[in-house]
Amino acid sequence: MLNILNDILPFLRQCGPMNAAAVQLPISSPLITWVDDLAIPIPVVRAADLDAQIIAVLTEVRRIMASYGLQLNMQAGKTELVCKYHGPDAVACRHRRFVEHAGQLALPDGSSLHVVGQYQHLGTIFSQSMSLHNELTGRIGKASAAFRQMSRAIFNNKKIAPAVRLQLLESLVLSIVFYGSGTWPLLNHRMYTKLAHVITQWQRRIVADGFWNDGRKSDDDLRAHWL
Amino acid sequence: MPALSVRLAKHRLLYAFKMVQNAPQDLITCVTAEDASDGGSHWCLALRHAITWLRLHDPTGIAQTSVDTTADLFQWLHDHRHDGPSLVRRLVRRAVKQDQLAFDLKQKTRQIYEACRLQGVVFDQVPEEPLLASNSAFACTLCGRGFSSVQGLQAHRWRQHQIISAERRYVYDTTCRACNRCFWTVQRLQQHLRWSRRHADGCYYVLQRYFQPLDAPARCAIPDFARGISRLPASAVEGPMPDVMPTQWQCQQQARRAQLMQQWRQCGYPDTLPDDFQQIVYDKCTETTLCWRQNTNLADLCEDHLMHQWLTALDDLADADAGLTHLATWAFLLWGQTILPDLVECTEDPDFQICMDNAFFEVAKLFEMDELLTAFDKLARAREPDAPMLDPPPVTTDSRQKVSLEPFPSGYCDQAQLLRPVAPPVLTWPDAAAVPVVLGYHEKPTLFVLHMFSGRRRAFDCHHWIETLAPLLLPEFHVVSLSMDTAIDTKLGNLLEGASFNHAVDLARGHAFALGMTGPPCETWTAARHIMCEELRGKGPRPLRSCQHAWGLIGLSMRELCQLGTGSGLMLHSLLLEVLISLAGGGSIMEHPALPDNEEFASIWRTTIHRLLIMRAPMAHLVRIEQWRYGAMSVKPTILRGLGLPKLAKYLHECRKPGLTRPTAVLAGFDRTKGCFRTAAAKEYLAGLCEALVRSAFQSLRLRLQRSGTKSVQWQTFDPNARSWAQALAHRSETAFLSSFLPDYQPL
Repeated sequence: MLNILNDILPFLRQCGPMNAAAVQLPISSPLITWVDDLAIPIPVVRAADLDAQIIAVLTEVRRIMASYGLQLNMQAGKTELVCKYHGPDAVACRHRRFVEHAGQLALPDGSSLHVVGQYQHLGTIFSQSMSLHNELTGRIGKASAAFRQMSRAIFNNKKIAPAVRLQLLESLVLSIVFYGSGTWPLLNHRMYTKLAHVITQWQRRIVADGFWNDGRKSDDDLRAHWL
Repeated sequence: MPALSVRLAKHRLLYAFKMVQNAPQDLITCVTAEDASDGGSHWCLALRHAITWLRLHDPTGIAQTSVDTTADLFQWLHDHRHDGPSLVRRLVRRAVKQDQLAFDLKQKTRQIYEACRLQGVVFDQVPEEPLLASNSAFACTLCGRGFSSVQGLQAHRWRQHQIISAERRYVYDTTCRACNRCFWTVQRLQQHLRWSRRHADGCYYVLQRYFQPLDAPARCAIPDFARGISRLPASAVEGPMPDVMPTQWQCQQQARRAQLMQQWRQCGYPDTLPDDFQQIVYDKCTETTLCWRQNTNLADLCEDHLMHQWLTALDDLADADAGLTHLATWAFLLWGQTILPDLVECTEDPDFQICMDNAFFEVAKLFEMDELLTAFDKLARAREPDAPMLDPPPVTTDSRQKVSLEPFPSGYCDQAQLLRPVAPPVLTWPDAAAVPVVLGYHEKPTLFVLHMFSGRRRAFDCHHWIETLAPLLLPEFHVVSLSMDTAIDTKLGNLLEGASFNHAVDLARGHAFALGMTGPPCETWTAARHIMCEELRGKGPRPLRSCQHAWGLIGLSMRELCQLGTGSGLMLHSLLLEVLISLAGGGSIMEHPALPDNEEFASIWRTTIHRLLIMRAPMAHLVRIEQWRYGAMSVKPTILRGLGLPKLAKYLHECRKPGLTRPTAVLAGFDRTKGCFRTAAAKEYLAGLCEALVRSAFQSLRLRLQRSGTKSVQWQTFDPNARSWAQALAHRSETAFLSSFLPDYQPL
């Protein structure tokens, strides 16, 4: 894979439109890679140039990979494009891409590349709108699935002490929620409330202190009570 | 469990430290790219928010450096990349502990109030969160109600007081007269004007300068075709710009001048003052004044003389014609305003100066014309103010910005707010009931005395005096003392937690105790913590509380927090038992250090729960004593608070030992030879104080027994476990002697 990357990088550096964009940016856009997973940022100066540049880069990447006997899997969910048009031609480009071509980018060999609104890279959702909403919803969904999966065996198991179950919640479920949270921006009120509610819901379910409980504690008191 | 905001802050900080340590270049690249976009880096914003939390919990630590710029932030991360992560983890643990302490405090306070409520104390409603000016950004000046948004306030002022907003007073129709922009509705124009108040030269201020405000709102109907369309575009029209018009101030000045002119003419004064005549008057007055100054001795100085000379001169000038009188007066008054000050300046002697000034002042008062002339003079000299004339815009913050993102829990930091919902004001406290007497424990009726924090059993301690003095002072009763302390028995005497405390509460609730005596540990409260200990090179114990934060300061270490929790728990448990004993008809006495002189220092006597709840009990009073009068080796000022014990102060003062001299020894600092603090010498009550306490409490209780009578309670009605606990503790209290006292704080 390293050899492939070493072959791709010189090509990217020689690309004229990309270089023109890189001059205007404060940084050069790096390749993001992990084992066989590869993400290539492609900036261009004008919105109308983007499609051609994407096709050029993809063709070259496929050619390099083919030289190593590898073939890109072009199916949905495997190789996808997240694109964002800006500038004077953006409206027309967007209309052509998403309305006329129905979110497909036709390639010279007859195949097509799927254009999507969000893309999952190493478990983290990268959204076209740059919003955290999808990532957060995805994290909550994954963690909820994990909680459900283990609820009968662990979290609802009355033979394990509640304090131990809460500790297990931290390590088995909350670690999924907070994966990558070091990079999050400040959550807005709605997202914060949603996340806090989900976590409190799990904790309340474990310690059996819910709405129907007479002496139920407030959220703050519940946190303070169960160290 | 940490709060969500604390978890997020922790993750962000740890991530940032890790990135700075392992991949600083990548971090700088990403943040620089984000910084270049609109609004700066959102991640840096979140990181700064996390650092705010760090600063809150570690007020004197690493987070004090400014991190306002990205460069500062990175420098800070780089500087603390080694010690930062461990500190963050430590502070999270402390934050969790603080939350727990706050919860405990709330629970225990609630328990005390609940116990009072069950025993007949009537409380008022907890005042609802006041919507007053202090709590909301926008307050109504007429009725004090507060609102979270300016729109709310405006709506209230119109509905309740029929007052229109400041902007609406400049809405004549749907066109802004300042920028000639046309709006479709009056509301749009009003919004436009409000937003314009953000700028010093915005439309609102232009209108204020050039236009007259309305008293009632001008109505302006929406055209039929525009009804139901919410967002119509605004358009600008040509028109005269305001700066070709006279300003509002100029109009006002003009009106005032016209008014003054009218008054002037009504008085029959001439319109113009001829220059030559004016000059004649000026010369004459100057000559008269100079002449007076030259011919007058300091000893003969008199205002009347000068006044007389001026008036004579004026009479001479106006003698020929009555029409000249007004002209002469006018010219004289002008002379007084313009020439006379120069003459006064030229005079060297200050007595002459004062005399001249006063003389003119007195003379001017004789003429009605003077007032008008002064008003004209003021008008002529007035200058239009540069700054906007009226109040600056009240809109500094948008109401939507008031929601703080990812708020950190503030229960521990804001203890008053934390306790407010559980501590309603007391309305009435029931009168003192009959003293409870237990039957069936002994052949004689029994009085149970609960002595909390009694310390180890020793010679001539309180227990000894209870056994000695009871047959003398309360001969008709059998008195049983339960000395409750871990020094007596670690399990039976535990007042912090466990079954023993619950048994004590059960017995107190069941009206078993006739007398309670307590002296909760003062180690976390003491003012001695504020003394810099030179022997320990400034590393002595730090203050844990202050008057403002009576239940714990911010920035304490984990050990200090644990110690604080123990101290607060013991204090609140002691108060709970005291309240229960007092409400059941018994008496109670509590000992604690007297109020420190510095009002900033913490004291249990200054806490809200003590002032507003305990001191509302009948016969609650504070008695300040100095322990040297009872045989202590230092002065040791102490307050004894009695509940349901009449004349306690009198009996206490009667027990003072005669012939003692006030000691000069100060128990402060660390004694290296003994390896302990010097205050340790005063830790246990000496025999004299023990005797005084017990004797005065018994005498007072005897008075209560005479006044209120007794109330019998059957021993068999109590919970068997509680009974066996009491019997076991009574037995231990009699036998468990120790050679030395336990150290103050005993961490588990």
